[in-house]
Amino acid sequence: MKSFVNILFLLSITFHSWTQASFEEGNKAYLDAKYDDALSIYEKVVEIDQTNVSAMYNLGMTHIQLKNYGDAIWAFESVLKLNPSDKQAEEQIFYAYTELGAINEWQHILGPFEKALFSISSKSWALFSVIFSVLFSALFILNLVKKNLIQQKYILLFCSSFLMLMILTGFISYKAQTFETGSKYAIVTSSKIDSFLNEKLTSKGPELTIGNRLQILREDTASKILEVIDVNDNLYFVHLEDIKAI
Amino acid sequence: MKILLTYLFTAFALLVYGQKEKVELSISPDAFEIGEVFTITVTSTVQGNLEIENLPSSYVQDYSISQGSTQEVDYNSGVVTTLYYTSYSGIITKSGDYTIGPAWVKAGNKSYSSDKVDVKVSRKVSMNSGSVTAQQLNDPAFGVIECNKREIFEGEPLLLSAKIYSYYDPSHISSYQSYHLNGTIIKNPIGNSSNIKVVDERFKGKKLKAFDYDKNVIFPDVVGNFQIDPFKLNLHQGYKSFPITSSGLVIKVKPLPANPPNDFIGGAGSFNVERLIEDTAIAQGEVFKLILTIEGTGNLQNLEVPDLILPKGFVVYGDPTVNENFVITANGADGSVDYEYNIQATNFGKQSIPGTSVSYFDPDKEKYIRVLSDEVEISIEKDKKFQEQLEKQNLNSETEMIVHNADIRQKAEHVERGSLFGSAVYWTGVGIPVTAALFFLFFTRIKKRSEEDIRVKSIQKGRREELELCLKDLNDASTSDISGFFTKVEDALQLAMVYYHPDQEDRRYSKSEILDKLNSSGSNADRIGEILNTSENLRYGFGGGESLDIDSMRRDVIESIRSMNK
Repeated sequence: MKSFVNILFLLSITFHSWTQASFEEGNKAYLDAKYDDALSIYEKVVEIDQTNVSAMYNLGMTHIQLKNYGDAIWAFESVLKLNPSDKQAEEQIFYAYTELGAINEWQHILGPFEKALFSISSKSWALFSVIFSVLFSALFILNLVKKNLIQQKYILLFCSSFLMLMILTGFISYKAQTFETGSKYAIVTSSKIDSFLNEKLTSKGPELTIGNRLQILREDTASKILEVIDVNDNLYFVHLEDIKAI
Repeated sequence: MKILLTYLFTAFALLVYGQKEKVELSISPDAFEIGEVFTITVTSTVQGNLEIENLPSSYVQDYSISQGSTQEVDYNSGVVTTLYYTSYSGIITKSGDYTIGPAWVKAGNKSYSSDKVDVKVSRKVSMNSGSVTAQQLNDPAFGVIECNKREIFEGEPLLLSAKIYSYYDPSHISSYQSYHLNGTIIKNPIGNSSNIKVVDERFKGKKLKAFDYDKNVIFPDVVGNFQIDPFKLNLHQGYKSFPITSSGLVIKVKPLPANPPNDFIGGAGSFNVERLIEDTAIAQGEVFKLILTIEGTGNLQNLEVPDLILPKGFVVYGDPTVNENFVITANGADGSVDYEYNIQATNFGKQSIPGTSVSYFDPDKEKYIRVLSDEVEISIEKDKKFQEQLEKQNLNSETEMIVHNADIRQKAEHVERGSLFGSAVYWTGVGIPVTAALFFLFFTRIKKRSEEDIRVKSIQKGRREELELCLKDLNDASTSDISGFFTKVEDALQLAMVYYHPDQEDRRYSKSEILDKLNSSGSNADRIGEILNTSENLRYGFGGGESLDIDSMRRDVIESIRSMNK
């Protein structure tokens, strides 16, 4: 009977309520300065609910409290991947870099214009594109049906504008989607890692330090070697376990 | 009053008299291994029967007891004191922490006691010999550097000793030069170097006399190959001696694994953490002491000060006071290190201080281990004055620059993610309205063309009827009215032109256009041209109407009009 009740109870907990409860539990642990507990809770939440930007932000804050600045930068960069115009996450990254003594080394992945555009999701841009296509079609049909309207030229103007907007928002949606799913970055979370100049790892490159952001070009899952470029476009090969992908 | 003064004087005199005789108990060394010889010495200013309490049951005393006396001069007072000493040597066969003493000296009917002494007996650490050459084995005596491990981790203690083997029974050593360590590494002596114990041992199948000497624990601070240079000595048997130079030794010092935990304190060994808060019921604003104790065995002397992470409402004042309570044993530094923090409680109410975690590296398990102290709840009584002061400070600090916002997000916000662009839903959403618009355009065009066709057909029908009527009139026209006849001819030709040009608006066609049309349709254009010329001549009074064959003209005109559609 007891197990039956338990099953019913478990069934009654929805995915959303679980993540919400865990998120609140993590917040409580953080406020009680139980940072290790908060860390494990937030990590579970972001693992399951990858769009929970608040949990990712709070995970970064917990890493800050634990002085894991490399991991904190990773978490806040992940927040920026979800919401590129998150000012608070940018401030925290600057803070983490300050603590690492490298304040001037960070730049946003996106330029200001892209940042503004990609702060709206690819899905929303695609939705706008669909809406503009509907508006364009409606005005186009209206233009065909009502030939002798006084506002004919305005209808035509709007009609062509909606067509343009439909194409434009479709293009932005495509670019935003490429940013969201196509571009892969990683952060060095250890104090120092080895880099190599060739895939066979025979020629050693410079040591990459904590907080370095690398763009992943290629991933060899068999040998666990990544081909990456740093912010200065230098090409290196690194071990998969040495970095944390955003 | 007199009585009171007498009592006080007597008590003072007794106290002074009582302090005059002293008994001291000392044990050397105070940390040693099982089976290692140590010395207990009792020194007293009074002679009498000696008794030492709390000697462990595993203590085995040997036969070497030395007794004697020395004299000490206090140069300030000029008083000469005679000190009587008795030394025993022995071994302990079981590891553990022991408290030995006090030692009692009974003189007459009085007894004098010493303090107690703590000793630490560690398990026997097995040692490995360094390499020995064939030449050395053939020598009357040779030496090797022994160590407990050939490979260690950075920070891990290493036990070294000089081991001397001989084919003869040695009496003493001289000119000893210790093995040399590269770098600035401190040697921590272990055991009783002044008491050499020669034993029989088998070494590479040969029965030899052997003894350990110069045992030290070191903590190499370099990674890589650590070189230990040989030791030298002269091994005597009475007046004869043999010079010995041992082999060297290389120890591999491995670096600790990458990515240590954030609370790693640089420890290599086995540790535990405990935390003590002196008073768990305090007033707001009061400073209390929190003592964090790290105890265990390893490199306790090299630990970094742990970061104390406290919740809001607690402020740590300054750096902690560090108290080291450890002894260097064969296994490393054994004991504890206390970190005493001064903390002010700025909030009131029941406050929980979460456990403090520290991480260390365990060389046996070859991994980082995290240990956590217990959580403590503190009851803080509200202090009105302090609270007011705190609120004022908070108000003032709000106007200052905020350095770092450590607030977390209380509300879970989700970001819309997912691939819509390029999906079937997207193309359907965009494609359906656009396709619908294009289809509508297509159908509108078809409809328009259809309506135009109907309109043209209707007009043509009217024109056809009008033309037929006109031709009938022409056919019925009287030959006497020549002018009327030619008018009807021209009307018929105009109507025919209109009828056979359905795509053009109604208009009057010129003579040349009519003739061109007749030419193109293969009609007798010349004949019609003549008729039209005749008509013009008659209209403008140039004559020519006398001998006209009206019927022939009528026939030709009607025939030409009918053939215009070819």
